[in-house]
Amino acid sequence: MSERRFWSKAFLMFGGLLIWAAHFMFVYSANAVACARGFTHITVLGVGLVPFSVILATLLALLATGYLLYTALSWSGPLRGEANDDPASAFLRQITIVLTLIAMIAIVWNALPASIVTPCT
Amino acid sequence: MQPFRKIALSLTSAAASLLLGACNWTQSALAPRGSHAEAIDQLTWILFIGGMLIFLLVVAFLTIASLLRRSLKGWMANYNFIIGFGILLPVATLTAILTFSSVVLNTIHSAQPKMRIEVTGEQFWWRVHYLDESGTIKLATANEIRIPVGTPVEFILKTQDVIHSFWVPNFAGKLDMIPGRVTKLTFSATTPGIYRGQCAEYCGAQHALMAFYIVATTSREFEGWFAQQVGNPPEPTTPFLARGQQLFLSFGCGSCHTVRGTLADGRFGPDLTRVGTRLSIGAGTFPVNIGTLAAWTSSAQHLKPGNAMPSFGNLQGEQLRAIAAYMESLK
Amino acid sequence: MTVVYGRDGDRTTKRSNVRFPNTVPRPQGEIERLRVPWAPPRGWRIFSAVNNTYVGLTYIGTALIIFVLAGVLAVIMRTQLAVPENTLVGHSLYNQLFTMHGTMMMFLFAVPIMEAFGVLLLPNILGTRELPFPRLSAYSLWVYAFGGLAFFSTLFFGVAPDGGWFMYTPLTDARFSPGIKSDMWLLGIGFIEIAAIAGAIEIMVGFAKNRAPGMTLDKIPIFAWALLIFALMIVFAFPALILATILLEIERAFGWPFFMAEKGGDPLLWQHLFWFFGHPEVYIIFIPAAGMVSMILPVMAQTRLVGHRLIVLALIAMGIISFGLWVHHMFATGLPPLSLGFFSAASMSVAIASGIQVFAWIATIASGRLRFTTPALFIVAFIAVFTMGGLTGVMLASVPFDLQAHDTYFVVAHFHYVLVGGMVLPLLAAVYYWFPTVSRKPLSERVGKWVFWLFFIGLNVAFFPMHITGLMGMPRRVYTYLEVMQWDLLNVVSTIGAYVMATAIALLIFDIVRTFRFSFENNAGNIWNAGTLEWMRTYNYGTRSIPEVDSRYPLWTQPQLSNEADEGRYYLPGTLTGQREALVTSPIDARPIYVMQVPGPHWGPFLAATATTAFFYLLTLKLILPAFASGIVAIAFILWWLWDLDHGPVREPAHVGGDYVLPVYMSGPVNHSWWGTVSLLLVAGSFVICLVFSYFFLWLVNPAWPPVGVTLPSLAWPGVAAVLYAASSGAVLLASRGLSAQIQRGPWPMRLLLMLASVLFLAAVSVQALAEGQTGLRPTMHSYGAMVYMFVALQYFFAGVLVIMAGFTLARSLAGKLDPVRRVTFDNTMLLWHYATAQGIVVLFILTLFPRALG
Repeated sequence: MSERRFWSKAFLMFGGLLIWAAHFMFVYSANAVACARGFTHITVLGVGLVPFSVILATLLALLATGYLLYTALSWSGPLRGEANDDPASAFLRQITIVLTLIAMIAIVWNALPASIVTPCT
Repeated sequence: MQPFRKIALSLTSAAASLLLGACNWTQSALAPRGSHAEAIDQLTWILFIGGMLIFLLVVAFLTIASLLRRSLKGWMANYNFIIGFGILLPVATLTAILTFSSVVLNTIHSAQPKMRIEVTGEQFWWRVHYLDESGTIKLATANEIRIPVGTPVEFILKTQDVIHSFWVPNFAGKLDMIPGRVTKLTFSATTPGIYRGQCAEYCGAQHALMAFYIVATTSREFEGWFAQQVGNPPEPTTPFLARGQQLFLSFGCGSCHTVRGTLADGRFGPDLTRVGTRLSIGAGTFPVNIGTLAAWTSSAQHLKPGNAMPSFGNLQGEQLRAIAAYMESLK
Repeated sequence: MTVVYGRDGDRTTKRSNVRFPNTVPRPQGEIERLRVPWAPPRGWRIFSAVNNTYVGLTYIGTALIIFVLAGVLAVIMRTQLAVPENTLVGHSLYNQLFTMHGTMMMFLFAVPIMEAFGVLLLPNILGTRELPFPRLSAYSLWVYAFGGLAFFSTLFFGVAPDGGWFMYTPLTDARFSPGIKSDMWLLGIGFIEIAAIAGAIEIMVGFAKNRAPGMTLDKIPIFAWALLIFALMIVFAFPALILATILLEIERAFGWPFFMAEKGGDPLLWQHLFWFFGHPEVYIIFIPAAGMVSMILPVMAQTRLVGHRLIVLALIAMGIISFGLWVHHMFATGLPPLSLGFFSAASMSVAIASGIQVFAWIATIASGRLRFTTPALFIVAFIAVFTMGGLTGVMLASVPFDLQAHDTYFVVAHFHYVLVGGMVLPLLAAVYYWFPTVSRKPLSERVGKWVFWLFFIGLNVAFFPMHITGLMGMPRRVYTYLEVMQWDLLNVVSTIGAYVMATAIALLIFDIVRTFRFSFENNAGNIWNAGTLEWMRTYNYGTRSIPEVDSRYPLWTQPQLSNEADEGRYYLPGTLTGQREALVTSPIDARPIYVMQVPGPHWGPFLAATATTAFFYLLTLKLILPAFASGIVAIAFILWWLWDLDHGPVREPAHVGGDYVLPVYMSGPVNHSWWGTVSLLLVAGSFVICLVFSYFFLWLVNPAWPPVGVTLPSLAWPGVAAVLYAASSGAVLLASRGLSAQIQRGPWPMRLLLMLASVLFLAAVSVQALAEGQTGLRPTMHSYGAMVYMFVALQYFFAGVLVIMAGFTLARSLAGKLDPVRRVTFDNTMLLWHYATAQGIVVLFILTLFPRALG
């Protein structure tokens, strides 16, 4: 496997989890700022500002991770292996697939409390 | 959920009595007597039973894997086993747990209070103010709280110095008291009784001895108690008690403590107006009687070293007894 | 080439037509020439040794001593708590005991011992001779050893800290903790921060660059993966702790109000910073232990690990997700309920990663025949105990339950189950397992069974009742409890358990002392029939030649590997330069790229460590001038040991084996010290990101930002500062060109430009400082001022570092040790420079534009 592709492959491997981390930071900060600055009474499309932001962020995150998963499954883009029996490529691809799935589960779990728990005290 | 709650509660009592025999249930999360504690107790049972089952599953698998023949355990030695039990099982159970926890979390944040009590944590005691709707103090006391059963009470929590934490396990989970912030906890008691709370955030030298009693009574008993507490205490009825009062004032106790109706109006230490009615002295450390009151006054630093009350070692014999008797008479 | 499918479906390639990289017999004298540079220093000079085996063993020994000392503190605490209202230990000493027990275990034992195992074993596991920066490991070891033991000694002088191992403010600020006890903690863990980061850099670079040829990513043993993730987590988590400790120390010493509510600070800022470090910390501790289990278990079951890929990804998932859990230590602080819900969700996510590993281990046992040796017993017990701890962890992840259990003995039970069960049990397995690699005789299996059963039973007897004790109302960190609470039975049972554990450890120490006889040339050998490279025959120089591997278990698929390596059939069977060397390979394919010259013994690390320890302690004792003198001496010793390095290409490229004719020096991004510097920049970047977070956090808790009465400097000031920063970087860029053109233009353009760059940088920071100062802003008035000046202080710190590095680079240039080819020193300086100016400019943007955007 080409070393030049090393960084793109390595980042794709935990790309799903990085998307989770970004999603998480966004929803947490959004709620913290909304509660501290009193924005929570604002509604968008009939839904409170905070749950709305969480839903939006979740959809975006799932799209992004979904794309990643598609890339890994179809073995396209940077994950295209040079040779079929390159064990390091296969290794990275399999890890990318499962890690991305775990990231998607974690993203959905993150969104779950937003539909049940009141945003602020 | 009501029938399940009842089952959970009786399971708790049964298991606890069986395992723990004679125990003090007045400061226990396993003896839920308040709205929050009951909801949490239900959740706890679900978590505990679920966890127990998973633990037994793991131990069973370990046993099979280590001891049995290959033909009996071969089905475990592959990826599907790991994915099934290591990913699918946790995802299913945790989704359920997360949902249920979120529901309970939401429930305990949605009570509407009918009464307000402000509690301020200090090193190492509790300042208690009963407030009316506008926030004025109706009653100032310390180290003891009484509430009527069935009424949602909002506890407004503050601190004078470092971080403390207000915790009455029989009623609710804990909530920290943080400098620069005001935190609020609203719950109601469901069963009358005498309960105990303790500071649950390490706050320095005597964190271990910073506790308080909280008594849940019927509404009528509560009204009666409250009415008695807000007025001024009775004047000393005997010369000995009068001497005690006079010594109390002349030795400067009034510069830190308040006794309404006298010249003692200090706010640094606990309000002593009705100290004779309390269940404890030293913030949950000793019962209240003439002996303990005398000991506390003369050797507070020996009994609870590092707390803010100095030892009045210069008080001896008859003077000390008189002051102690006076305080005990403040009912 | 034939393709063989392994049992778990992965593919390995096996060379059916074996052709070795080098021919035998090897030339006369080659092996003697290899022995000479690798020989250890004799007699008392052993303290100048830097070889990973010596450093690693000393590191492990120190950590085990600290473990025992911290354990003794626990036994004293348990004795005090055995009966209610006990007077064995007063409140003052008890509060110091629990603080010291926690601090020592978490900082001075758990993380260092994993680093120590990494130092000792990672090179051998990866099939290389040495770690990339041996003098750095030696420095890290001695800083840790001196600092750690000096820290413990504070107990005997009455100045041991007593704020708890997480030292919440405001209890630990100058008002509520006067005196130097809290400072002892703050400055005391400063050196462990250094040691941890130094070790992390080594491990990361070693993992990437120093592997045996053929050890592609899919063949790297799990412990190496675990150490890589451990190291990456340290790089991103420790800076938060470093920042928190610096902020608190500055608040205590100078009154800058970061955490004082009455001046715009917030005690919760400490908690956020501490736990952002503190939660990953516990996974930093657990992940290497899990890695050890994945190495030991397959050997005990005599089968390959089932689910190797799943375990690797579980470790990665655990590493990343664990950074999103920290607020679960703050569920009771009154934060918004939905925020708590997010952290609850994330805390449950990490359980998937644990679940994968547990069932992978069970699958592995099922796939083989487990031999119940002492290590195997510890591992089986670990799986059960850790599962129990993980399940109570899931309970605690549920917010409402946590609100009851937080800060009670339930939590004490939980974390001891996951730490003692999840880390100490694998560690004990590891001690028994790897003992034969460094000792003539293995530890006794008979005594081992006694140690195991006593420890396992003791651990459960001590900690299981605590689950109940906590729910029955007993809070943490209490020096006594009232008789009326009736917690006595539960407590005395826990105390008995503690004594049983102590007996087990005493028995273990006895066995180690009577059995351990240091040797690796005549060690007990591969008594377990393991398959990984650390079980090859090794010498002072590692293996005679660097093996080429083609599977995850080379000793199983290539049984003659040790003999073949001894004969010199593999890579680098001798020394090319007459000094210590190691092979550098590519990160993914593990193809040989160049030969790195490895530093040998030197007194610099040992002496620098002594001076560094002195610096921290003198500073804590407020002896400022002696402290700074020690600091300067420490830096001098470090520069002395560095002066010896960066040899440049001392010879032309040479044949190392196969078709590879490799250079002995490479500069630029391929060079290992470039990677080391980049790792350091990741640490710095994490640090400044935490500082930026703190700035935004304090904005959020303050109604007005900046506070009323503060005027912002006019835009000209930051504009000028930004230009000066950019110019400074520009000068360095030109200096780099000047260095490349040195042959034509001479060395002075580079030298002058470097000096100019230093002046420009200092000017930039000073303009920044002046800009704020002339508005009347002071750091002690309000947290806004404190934050602004903290950023300035950070830039001054970088200025100091850059000036020292520029000076060092200039000195090398003047001494003729810097030229267009031999330029690693310059390149590292340049990397740091660009980072520092970029940081300066970004910070200027934030400080200038954010308050204006608000108003």
